[in-house]
Amino acid sequence: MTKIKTVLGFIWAVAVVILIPAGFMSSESLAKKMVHASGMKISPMYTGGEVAKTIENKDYTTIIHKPVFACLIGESQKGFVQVVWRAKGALPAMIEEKIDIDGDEKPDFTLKFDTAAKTASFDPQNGVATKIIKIYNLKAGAAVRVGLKKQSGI
Amino acid sequence: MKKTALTFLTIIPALILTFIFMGRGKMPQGAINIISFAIGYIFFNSMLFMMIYTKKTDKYRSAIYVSTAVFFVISFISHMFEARGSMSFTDDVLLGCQIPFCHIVTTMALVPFALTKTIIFPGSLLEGFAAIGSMIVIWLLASVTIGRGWCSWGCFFGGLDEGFSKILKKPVIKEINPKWKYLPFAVLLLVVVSSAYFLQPMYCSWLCPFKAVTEYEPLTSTTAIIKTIIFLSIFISLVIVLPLLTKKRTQCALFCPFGAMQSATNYISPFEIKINTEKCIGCKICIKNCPTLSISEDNLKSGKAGITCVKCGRCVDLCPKGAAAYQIKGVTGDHGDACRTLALYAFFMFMAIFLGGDFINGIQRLLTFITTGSFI
Repeated sequence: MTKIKTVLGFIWAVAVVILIPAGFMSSESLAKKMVHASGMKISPMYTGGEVAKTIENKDYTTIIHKPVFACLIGESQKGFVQVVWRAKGALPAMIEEKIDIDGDEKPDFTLKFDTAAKTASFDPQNGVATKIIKIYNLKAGAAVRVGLKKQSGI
Repeated sequence: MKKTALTFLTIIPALILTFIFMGRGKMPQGAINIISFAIGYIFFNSMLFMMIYTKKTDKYRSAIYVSTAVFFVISFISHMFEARGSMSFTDDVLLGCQIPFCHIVTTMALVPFALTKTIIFPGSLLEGFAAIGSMIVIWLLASVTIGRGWCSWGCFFGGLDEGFSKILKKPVIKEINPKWKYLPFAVLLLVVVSSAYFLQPMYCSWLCPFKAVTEYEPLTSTTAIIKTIIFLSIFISLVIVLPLLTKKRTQCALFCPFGAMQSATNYISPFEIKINTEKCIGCKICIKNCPTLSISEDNLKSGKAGITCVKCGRCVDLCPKGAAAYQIKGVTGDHGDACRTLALYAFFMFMAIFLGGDFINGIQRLLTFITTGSFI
C-alpha cells in the first residue's frame, strides 16, 4: 500500500509540474471558455446595467440604462438608474432629460445637469427617484446615477 | 565539477521553458528589451541553479520574490501613467470597467458570483491588462498545483513585506502571540460577508494596503481621503514597520484574506513541508524563524507544518538536523532529493512564468528611465 501511495504521489507531483506550463499556455482560451460557459458578467453595480434607450441629440447622445436593483438574492428595494451623456463636440450648458423608468411612456422624473458646475438635480413626478447618488465626469460627457425606490411596474 | 554538471542537467527543462514563457514566445526586439529579457532570464535561472546546487531554497527564492515585487510596482505604476497619466483612476476607467483585477478580489467575488453570476469588480472579463477571466484561471491553477505556495512563489505583493522583514539582522519585537495568525481568517470572513451584502469588494474599497503602490480613487471627496489614509496607514504599519521590527511577513501572516483562503488549497497541492519527528531535537529554530507563524510546537509533534504554511523553505534551510523537508503527499521512504527537486520545479516554474514578465518589464522601465529620463 505504501509503495502504491508513493508511486501515486510522484505521478501527482510530476503531473503538477507539467500542468503549470500547460495551464499558463492555455490560460486565455480557458478563461474564454470559463466566462462563456458560466455566463459570467460584470455586476450592473459597475456597468450601470443594460442600456434601455439611446437618444441621439444634436450635440450629444443620451444613454439611459435599465434600472438596477442589484442584491445578492432577489431584488433590492433601493436601486439606481444610470444616465450617460456622450458629447459629440461639447455638451450644452444645461441638459434636461425626461426619464421614464417603468416604460409607461410617462416620465418618472426630469433630470437636470449643469455641465459647467457639474451638478445634477431632478424634478420628481412621482416617488420613484430618491436622490442623486453620483456624478461621473467623463472625458467626453458626463454620467449621473439617480437613486430609485422599488415600486410596482419597475 | 560533477555536481555542477548534474545541477545544470537538472535545470535544462527550466532553461527551455522559461526562455519560451518569459519571452512570451517571441524574441525580444530592441536593445533595451533584449537586455531586460537577458537580465530576467539569467537572474531567474541562476537562482534556480543555486537552489539545486546549494540545497538551500529561501535565500534564492527570496532574491527573486523581493526584487519582482519592487519591479512589479515600477512596472504597474509606469503602466498606469502610460494608460491614464496618473495613479488614480478616472470616472471613464471606472464606468468603462477597465480596472486591473487582482487575485485578492477573488475572495470577495466568489459568493456573489455563485448567487448572481456577476463579478463585483469594475474590470474587464477578457480584454486588456489583468483581465478577470485570466486571473481566475491562474488562481485556480495555483490552487491545484502549489496551494498556499502562492504566497511565497506567486504573489506580486508578498515580496514587499518580505523585503522589509529581511532588512534588520535581529528582530526588535521578538515574540508575537501565535493566535494572531488567525486574524486573516477573521478578515476573510468580514470581507466575504460585507462584500456579499454590499455587492462591492470591501477589502479593495477600504482595507487594501497595496493601493498605496498601485492605484487609488482620485482624492476628490472626504470618503476618498479617509480611504487613502487607511490604505497608507495599513501599508506603513503592516508592510513596512512591523515586518522591520518582527522579521515576519506581517501583512501576509496577520491580515491578507487571500492568504487565509489559499490556506485551504494546501490540502489540494501535492507539496508540503514535513518535519521528521525522529530527527527533530526540539530546538525551535523553525518556530522562531517561520515568517508566517506557521510552525508551532504542536506542528513539531504532528510532523507537519501548519495549514498556513507558504512553503518558502526557510525552516528547511535552517533546521540543523535536516528534520524539516519538502515532501510529496503519500510518498514515504528515502528518495534523495527527488521530492524537493519536483517541488522546486513546480514552484519555480509558476514563479518564472507568472512573475517573470513583471520582472522583465520593471527592468525595461528602469533602463528606459536611465536612458531617457522617463519610465514611459
